[in-house]
Amino acid sequence: MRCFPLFAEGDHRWLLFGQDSHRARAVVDSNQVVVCAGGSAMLLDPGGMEIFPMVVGSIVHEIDLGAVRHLFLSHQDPDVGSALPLWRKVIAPGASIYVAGLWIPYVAHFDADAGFTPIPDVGMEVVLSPQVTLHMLPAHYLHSSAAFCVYDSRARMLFSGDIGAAAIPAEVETHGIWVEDFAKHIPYMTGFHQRYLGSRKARDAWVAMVGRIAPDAIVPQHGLALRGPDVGRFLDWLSGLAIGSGIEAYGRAGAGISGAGNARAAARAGGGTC
Amino acid sequence: MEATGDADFSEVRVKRYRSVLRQIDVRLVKLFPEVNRINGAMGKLAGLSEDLRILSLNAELAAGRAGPRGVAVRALTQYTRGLVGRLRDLNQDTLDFNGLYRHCTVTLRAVRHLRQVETAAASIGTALQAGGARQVAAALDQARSDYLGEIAAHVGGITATTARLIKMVKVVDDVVAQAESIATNIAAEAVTAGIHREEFTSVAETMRRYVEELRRMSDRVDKALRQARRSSKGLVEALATIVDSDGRGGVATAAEAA
Repeated sequence: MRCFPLFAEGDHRWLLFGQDSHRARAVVDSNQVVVCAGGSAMLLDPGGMEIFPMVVGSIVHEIDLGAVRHLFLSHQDPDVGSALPLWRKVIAPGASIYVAGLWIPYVAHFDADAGFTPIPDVGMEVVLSPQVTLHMLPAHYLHSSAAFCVYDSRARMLFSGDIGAAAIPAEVETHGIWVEDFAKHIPYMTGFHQRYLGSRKARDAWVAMVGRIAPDAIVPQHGLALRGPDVGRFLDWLSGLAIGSGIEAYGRAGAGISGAGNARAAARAGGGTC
Repeated sequence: MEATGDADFSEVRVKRYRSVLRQIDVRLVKLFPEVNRINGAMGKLAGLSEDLRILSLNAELAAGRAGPRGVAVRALTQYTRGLVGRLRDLNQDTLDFNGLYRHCTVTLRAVRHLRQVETAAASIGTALQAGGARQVAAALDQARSDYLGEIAAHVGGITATTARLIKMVKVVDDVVAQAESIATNIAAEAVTAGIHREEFTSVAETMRRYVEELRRMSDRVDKALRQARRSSKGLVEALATIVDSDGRGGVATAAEAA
């Protein structure tokens, strides 16, 4: 697993761990991010059980895991936090674990003994050091019904969870962690966003919120990160993307099932909007 | 369980550890179908004991109708109700199956977590050589001990529950033998019961049918339990190979004792 420094200013650092060439083929590649400042660290989306050894093996070269006093889960998916019970054994004892309040009883299936700090719908702030505050911002329905991003207003970095994610085929060679050619990167993001994102209202609200914040970089949980002008390009692209592609399946489903109302129902479902 | 404090993350040791854990994993996965078989067979116990209870009530009514010719049958049916009571008590014990599932599941989860801890331990090797990561090494060593302790406790639970269930099957076998004898006696009473002969013969035949079903159930459970006992013994042995080489003998001893 590789480590990519995303930001550094004194002891204030953003590090990304990803592009793991040793992971099992069935396992989606994911980015694990650590934000450090003032001797404290927050681990963002620490990852799934399958990749825990590789992430630990990489992180220990960079930081003292005992400094990880905060752990953030952007949403409830297993690739985000199924390794939670193992992480709790190596990070600071009693570290805070932040997750949407809505998901706590579900995430507890990963680790029933963990004490969670619920993130309210509007988000919350966590002070990492006297100079660095991390803002948890809503990303509900993108794709999870309760999801959050993390913004570092000092570093101007936004960890966006699944928004901005890209599925880059293994045979495509990447040079580093930043998108180099946005136009060429679009095909890797398109299918993911069209299918996983289902709410236009949420998408528009998120784009407006991020537009107000105007981060210097967007770091997703999968694929490459975007910086500089690519941030604006990404927001524009996302705004115009037709999402919720799974909805058309309703119209096609059950065609072989006999029933008087089948034709009418299929027609209704086919015309649905989100 | 306390870590020994002298964490050994050498490649050879980690490989051996992972190999044994894989063996334990495979044995556990094989144990689940046996538990399912035991559970499926024992699930019939409640129905069979209820059938026997209703049969004994009907037989008692028939014995009452037969007057003096039914005195012996009445005594035999009352004895049958005692046997039904023993089966019902066992039925409460079948709750142990949930315990068996839980022990297997928790062990499997701990084994899989421990395998990841071992891989993580191997992957921090270079950082350790560079003089860093000592805290993480200590944390992983403690995690290793915690998981080993958890595995030992639940493997002990599997062994203990299996032993309890074997005792339970012996009770069923005892009930089968006694109920068979009661059925034979009722059949013998039927011969001299005059106009009640047909009714008593029917009771005896029905009871024999139920007894036969009980015997089949008991045989199936016994076979599955013997297999489960072999598997749990294998688990303890595999666990002991890790623990003995680590000088953490208390874990395997605890599992064996349980």
